[in-house]
Amino acid sequence: MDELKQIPVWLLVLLLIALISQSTWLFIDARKHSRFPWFWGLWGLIQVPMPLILYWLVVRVDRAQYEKLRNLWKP
Amino acid sequence: MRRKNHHDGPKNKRDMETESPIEGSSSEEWEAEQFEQLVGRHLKQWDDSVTPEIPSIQSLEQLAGDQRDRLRGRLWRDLLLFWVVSGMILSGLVLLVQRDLKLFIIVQVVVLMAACLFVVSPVVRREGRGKWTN
Repeated sequence: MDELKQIPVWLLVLLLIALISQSTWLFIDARKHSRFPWFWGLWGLIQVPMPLILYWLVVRVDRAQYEKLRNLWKP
Repeated sequence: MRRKNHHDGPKNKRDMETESPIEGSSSEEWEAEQFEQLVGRHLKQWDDSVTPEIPSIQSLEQLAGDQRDRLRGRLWRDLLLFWVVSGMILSGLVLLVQRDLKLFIIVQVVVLMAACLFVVSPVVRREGRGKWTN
């Protein structure tokens, strides 16, 4: 409880806004691109920014296109 | 008078065309020609007799608009449910932080590990652009 009092209020409010925004965006986007929108939304509510990074890497990155580009640059 | 015998060879070019493919032409072209000669005219007559109802642009726009409204309603319903659940989870986390910070950190670590394990599992690996989704 003492540790919590040391954190400024504005930082707590900012963190809360970040969590809610992240989780809402993840939930809405995952409904279009993923089979697990509730998982991404709830994880985004608990932590930041790991859910966002992993969501981008796992769901949104087009791996086939990445492999194609990587093969183009091969000598 | 000699009767026409089926064992005789074809007498004219038309007979050759209907009875067997001409040498040098592909069998597919020959089959297409045969199909056209035997069935094509009747198919065309049947096609001309059928007049499907073409929907108006207004009805199509109405259909698209209704679907858009349905999807928007479903999104808001899901979002409201999600926010209610989020409020409960956030309240629980805030209470946990106030009671015991160490337990809160343990919970965060456990959630991170469980989520990473779930993400690398074969169930989620199939996700991604171009892959199966909802």
